[in-house]
Amino acid sequence: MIRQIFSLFAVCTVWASMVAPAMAHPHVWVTVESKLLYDKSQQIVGVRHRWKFDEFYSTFAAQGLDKNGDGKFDRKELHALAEENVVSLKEFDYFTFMKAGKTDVAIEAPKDYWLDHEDGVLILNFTLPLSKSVDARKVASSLSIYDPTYFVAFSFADDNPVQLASAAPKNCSVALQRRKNEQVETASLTESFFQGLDADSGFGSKFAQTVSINCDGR
Amino acid sequence: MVVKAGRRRGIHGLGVLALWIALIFAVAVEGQAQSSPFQVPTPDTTTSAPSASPTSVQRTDPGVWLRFWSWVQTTQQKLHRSLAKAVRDLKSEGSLAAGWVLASLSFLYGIVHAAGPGHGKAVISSYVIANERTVRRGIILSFLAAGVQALTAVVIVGVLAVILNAAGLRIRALASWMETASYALIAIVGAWLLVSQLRRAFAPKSRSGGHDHQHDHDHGHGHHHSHDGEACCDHGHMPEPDQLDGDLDVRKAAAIVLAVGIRPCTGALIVLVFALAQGIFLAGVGATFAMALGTAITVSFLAALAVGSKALALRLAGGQGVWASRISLAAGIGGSAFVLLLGAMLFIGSLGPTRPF
Repeated sequence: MIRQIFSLFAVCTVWASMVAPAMAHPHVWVTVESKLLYDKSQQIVGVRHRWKFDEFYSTFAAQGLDKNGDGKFDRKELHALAEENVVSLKEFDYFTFMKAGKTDVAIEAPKDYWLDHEDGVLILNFTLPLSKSVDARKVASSLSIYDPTYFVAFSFADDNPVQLASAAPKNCSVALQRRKNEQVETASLTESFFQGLDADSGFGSKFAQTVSINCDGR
Repeated sequence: MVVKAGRRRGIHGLGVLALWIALIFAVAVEGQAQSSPFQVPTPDTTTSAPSASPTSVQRTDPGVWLRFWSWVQTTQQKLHRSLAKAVRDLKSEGSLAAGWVLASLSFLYGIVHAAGPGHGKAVISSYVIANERTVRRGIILSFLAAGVQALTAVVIVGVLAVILNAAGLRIRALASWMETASYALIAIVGAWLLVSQLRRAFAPKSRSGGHDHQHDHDHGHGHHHSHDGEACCDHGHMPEPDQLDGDLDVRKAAAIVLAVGIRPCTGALIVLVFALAQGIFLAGVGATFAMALGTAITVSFLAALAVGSKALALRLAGGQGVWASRISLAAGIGGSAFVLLLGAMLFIGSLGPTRPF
């Protein structure tokens, strides 16, 4: 009897230690700064990203790219890497999810992309054009940045991470929903937390960095 | 009466084994769910009804494990950052204390990191259930596998980065390739194990084995030496447990260790390249092996539990005799099938699109 209880206990302990509930482990950390781009009719036509990577990833990715051996990485040396990055981002929807009302806005191929290396970290700059322009004055719009598989952990930069281009309507502003990655834990992780997952979101959506664009008078 | 008691104990033993196989499967599914960008990781894949929704999972305290895993998660992230700082500190201070800090952090990282998906936990556990009988061997295999993983990481970075100054992307591409190769090898070894077990199980000509063979113990012991799958019994009974366990088969153990080991630990790759960039590559090598030690401890803990449970199951079933043979057989075939299944699933999962970062 004792032995059976013990064996059951042993199995349950191991079970518990092996069932890591959807806790994917980020390998890359990105600090996000973005700007919403407007056209002359004051509609959103694109997103300009400026993503700063952690020093571990930066060092790894930049390994072997200092071709001229000057101890610095210039845009030309980093071009192939930047190209590789934006091309492989496509499969993952560029980790950028734009909504106009209830509709998802499709995103087109990135333009004007390059990598900078400053203070030991890589910074990826790129523009994502929207396939259709969005009028935030007419419909509630939001922008979310996250990795559904949570391999990459995104967080907004501290200061004013999302800006509207100067062509934006004056009565529009952004409201941030930060989710500090280290703080999504403990009490908030209940069964209902996991029930909120659906086929499209994935665990990483719980760490989404979202901004809604609010325009007065809508 | 004796037969009934024996059967009850035998069923207990099978139950323990079945639970083990279920949780190993859960680990595999959990790991799979997290490696593909298009699958939703579910919080609990171990319910007996696969279609059960999360609400139907009744745990005694739903908060406890989630809090624990949240803690593991946060600790991992903090460790990750601390490792970078430790490497930089070692570079700037060059002191023994700084080296010790790096080694300890790496060790801790290895322990915690191995608790997550990957690192051959499920594979090694399945293998020892199939093919091993002693806890000692399970632990040795775990340590060897972790060691080979560390060596693989060091060799990859050593050759590509140090000697060839290859681009980080190339290193990552090679690491991905080796990961895929590792999974393929695991599947192949699993198939090999399965075939061996099946041959052993069905090779002897058997009358339906349901009767006592107490007198055959010594006979069984004397016969199990090197017959790989050959029948040795002219008595025609089911093979004794020690004929099935292959604990003398070093080749299979070496194969599984190599199969698991050629997948380099990604954490080690990152620390190695980082240390190299700081000009202290050898410190990175040290950190890598400290990590491997931590990983080995976690994996061997689970492998020991796996083999211990199998031994317990066998003892519950009475040590020798029909039920013990059945349990050994179930373990052998079930465990081997799992190694094959895991290898195949992981292989397929690893063929996804290249990650951007």
